[in-house]
Amino acid sequence: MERPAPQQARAEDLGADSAGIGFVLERERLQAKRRRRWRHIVSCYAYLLPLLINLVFLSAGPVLYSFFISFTNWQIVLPPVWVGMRNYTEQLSSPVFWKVMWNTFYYTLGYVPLNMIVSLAMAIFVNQQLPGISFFRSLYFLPVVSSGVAVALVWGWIYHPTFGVLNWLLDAAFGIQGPRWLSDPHWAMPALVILGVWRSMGSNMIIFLAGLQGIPQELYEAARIDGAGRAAEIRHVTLPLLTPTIFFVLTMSIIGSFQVWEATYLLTQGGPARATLTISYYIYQQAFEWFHMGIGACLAYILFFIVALITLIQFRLQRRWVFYR
Amino acid sequence: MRAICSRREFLLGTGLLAGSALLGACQVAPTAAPATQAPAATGVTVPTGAAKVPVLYWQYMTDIESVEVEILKEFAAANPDIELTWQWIPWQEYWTKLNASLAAGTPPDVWNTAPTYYYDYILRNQLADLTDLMKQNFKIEDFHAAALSGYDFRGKYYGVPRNIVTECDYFNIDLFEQAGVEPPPLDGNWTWDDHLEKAVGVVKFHNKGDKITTFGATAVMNFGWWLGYVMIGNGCEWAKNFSRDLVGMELDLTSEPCVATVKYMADLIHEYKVAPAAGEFAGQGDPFLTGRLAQTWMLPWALGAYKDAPFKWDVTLPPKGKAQQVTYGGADGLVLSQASKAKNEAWRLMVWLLDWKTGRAFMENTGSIPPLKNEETIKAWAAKYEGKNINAVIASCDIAINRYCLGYGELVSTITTELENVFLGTMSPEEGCARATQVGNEKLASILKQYEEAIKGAA
Amino acid sequence: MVLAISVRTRARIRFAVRAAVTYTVLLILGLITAVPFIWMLVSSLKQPGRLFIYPPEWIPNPPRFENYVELTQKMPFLVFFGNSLKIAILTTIGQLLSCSLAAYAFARFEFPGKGPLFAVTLSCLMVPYQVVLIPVFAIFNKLGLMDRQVVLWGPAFTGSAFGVFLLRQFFMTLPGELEDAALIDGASRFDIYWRIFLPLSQPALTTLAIFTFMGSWNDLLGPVLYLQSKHKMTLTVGLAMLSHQWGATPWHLLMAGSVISVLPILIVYIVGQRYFVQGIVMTGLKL
Repeated sequence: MERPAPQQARAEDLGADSAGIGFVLERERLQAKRRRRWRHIVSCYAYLLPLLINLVFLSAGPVLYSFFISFTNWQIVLPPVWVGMRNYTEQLSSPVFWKVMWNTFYYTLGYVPLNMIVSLAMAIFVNQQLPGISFFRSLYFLPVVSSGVAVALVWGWIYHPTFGVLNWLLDAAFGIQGPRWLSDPHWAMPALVILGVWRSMGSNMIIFLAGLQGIPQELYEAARIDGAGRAAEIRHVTLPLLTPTIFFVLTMSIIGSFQVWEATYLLTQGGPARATLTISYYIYQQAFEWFHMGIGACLAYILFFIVALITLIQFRLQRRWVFYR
Repeated sequence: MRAICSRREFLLGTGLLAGSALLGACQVAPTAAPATQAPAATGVTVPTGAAKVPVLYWQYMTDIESVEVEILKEFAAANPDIELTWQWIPWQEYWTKLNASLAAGTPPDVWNTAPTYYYDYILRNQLADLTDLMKQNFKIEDFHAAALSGYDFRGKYYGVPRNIVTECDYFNIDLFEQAGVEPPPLDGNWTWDDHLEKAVGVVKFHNKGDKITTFGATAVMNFGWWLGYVMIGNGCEWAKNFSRDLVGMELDLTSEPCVATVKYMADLIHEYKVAPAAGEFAGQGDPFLTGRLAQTWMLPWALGAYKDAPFKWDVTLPPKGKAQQVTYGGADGLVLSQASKAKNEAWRLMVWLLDWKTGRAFMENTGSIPPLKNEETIKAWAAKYEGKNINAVIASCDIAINRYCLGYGELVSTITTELENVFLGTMSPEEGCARATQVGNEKLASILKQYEEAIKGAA
Repeated sequence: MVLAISVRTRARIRFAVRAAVTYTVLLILGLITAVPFIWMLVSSLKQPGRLFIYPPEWIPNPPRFENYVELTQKMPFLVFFGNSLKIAILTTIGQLLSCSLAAYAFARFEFPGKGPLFAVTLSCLMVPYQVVLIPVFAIFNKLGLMDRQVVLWGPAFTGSAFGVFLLRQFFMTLPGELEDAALIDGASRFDIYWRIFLPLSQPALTTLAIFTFMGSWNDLLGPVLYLQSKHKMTLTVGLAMLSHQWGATPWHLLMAGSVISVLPILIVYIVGQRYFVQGIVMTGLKL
């Protein structure tokens, strides 16, 4: 088997040019260079071949098709009819759309920061070498796997306006009469944000935990020798080295929470008075319950543009704070 | 020469990928044969060599799967020329799969339909006209009017009802006795004032007296049935020139009986505090079964669901409204796809399922009322619920009304959401009804416009 | 001497207090997270109709183990379980292989079109699946793949945006010196991927494996949409068929089923934790 030189050498090779060699030689050299370059590109894409198949047939292809659909009136079982920008103009002037959009933003604004803080703190906390720690790690994963029926029931008890645990605590500890949570349009969404964070903190915890394993022990030892306390260790070693993982969780949480459905649907089914109706469920209703696939696709693309813009900004900003070795 | 991986390595990598994919495929291969080649697995045995016509059937009532499988097996045995396949699909996924299959051009031949979506598919040319076939095989008069009323469209039938579901008042006798209140009358001879009085009497408080442990009535339990409530309330009409295809129709919820009904329901929650607000029992199962609700509006599935309740209960008709005594009622049914390549065979299946002789086990086990009027049928069905006031459930069919139409789901959802403000206490009934009328009419116009545009495009 | 003891005692006390505080926090957190699961477990042993009573019963009296037996009689349980397991395992293998390959290329190679390709990959995550469902369904339909389980696990061998992004992030944190050293030793790029990156990324791969397994195991829409024959169905479908829109749902059986269906995920999770530790050891090694 061929054992070629390291990549660096090759890169210099590609970039170098030597004058004074004969014209024919020069041309051959150029051709060889081009061939190498092509081979390089082809082998890069060889690694990506499965993904390319996925993109063409399962993701980007259908996604592009649905972009076309967003300019049509497609009642699913009838052929699509081109309507130009009408879906977009109609939706952008519909109060229900703005209500739903606002709910989705509200959820995201509450969910993402809370979720980042809670799951990161949990990951750092359970990353200690303690007896029985893996038992606790498993406990914290339970919300992710518990059945929706059980989750709805227990959170129904917690949020119950008169017999609920939460309002009992508020009353006992602060003498406050708690709100009617799920029946109150102002409090239903905050209640569901907390439920959403609770439901997914275990899964983000493991992603962080996996990231924490990648931090070399030597760095902690070095910090300890420098006399750093636990807090300083977290601030100067853990967090900077965890930034690629934080960036991943942040990006995925934003993308995910803009499409939230289960957490808001479980207890309130979008109510009361649309206070918890999110765009993802609204898209489902439009597309599959009401035969407006064109409007569904249009809503999906409005959502897409917003999320894509936010993600793009995140990728631009990551250069300032994400630390890759 | 330096590539990112040598040819050998690349082959190794892709080989590995393909290999594991293949490995998986092999493991699955014995079971991965297309459905059409696996009749034995679905319980159908056909004499080999015969040219079999494939018929595909879908159903969402997953609770009676074991009952209907037997009916289908008998059909398959009696019809060796048909290769029958079937699938039970959970409700939520059912409509997704149906729509995806219709869009892809491969719908089932026969499928079970909810009345709420029926007109959506007729008007979009998806269902075969069954009027003549129906007249050949059945006497139209044999079907109860309540069952047929949601299935005729301009004098034609594109589907056949399989049951009748109506809303009735189910009540917990134990709770009424404990409270020393006379339970609702079994003959259905009572008014909405009586209903309120009983509800107030049966409410139970926590020992401190500030928290309700048992509610006396329901107001907004099933949002989707709001139409039922409006009608239950006072038997009023909520649309002018009602038509299944929405043409010329106009919503009007501002009439005096309509507003009074909505007000009555809202007052049960806020004024008299006898009915739970939305979200009170979120996630906690059916409060009627846990003894936290003394009476509830339910469809006849309740007969089966409440069978093993740990208390005495019974059922009666909803109270009389000012205008008339009515209830909400509709029917699940069977439809035949317009695109089916085996319409005759598919129809034979439908007849088999609908006929009392062959389809009896289904009608007896869904809890719903048989769609056929003949006395023998009804008697056989009612025998299953001996000891309960089953005559009220049967009688409710005679006062059942429905208003299914094109875009029913969207229209109902829109109006319901507007009325929710009234039930939340944030809007007066007058204001809520006026808003619901206005928003509902806008929605109605937009549904109609979108539909007409699409159907014109299809032509 | 006295001084030394008192210092040691003080350290011991401080340690004990710290341990007590730590474990108290761990336990409280554990309680908050475990209650629904405990309810599930308890309910799976209850008499029918005793599940939703309030105040809740935390000890089923008497426990009804027959629920589990009854559950297996209500459906072809072993067939469903086997199908679920097969699909979830194949999906996981597929995702690990294809995502790690693509992530390696994205993390370590420079080539034209890399940025846009990665952007497109991520973009596909941002369009809700509801609007691509029908086109994808139509494609599989055209390919004649209906009622074949391969539709459910086959696509996993082509990767997913989530997996590629996750692994890319981890690969990018691996120090470049590792590769340089290996290249000088004459290793090829593929060697580096196979012998260095994959072993070193065990925590990340395990994470992806857990998520993929869980996602596939819990998938309800996929099997319902693409399968037809009952003997090809998965456990999730079997359980969904138990709960009825308005009829009488046998909640006690549903909970027994939910407990069983959680177990494989928990096993994968607990076993996976072993690989969370190894990552540390390996990273410290000089290569």
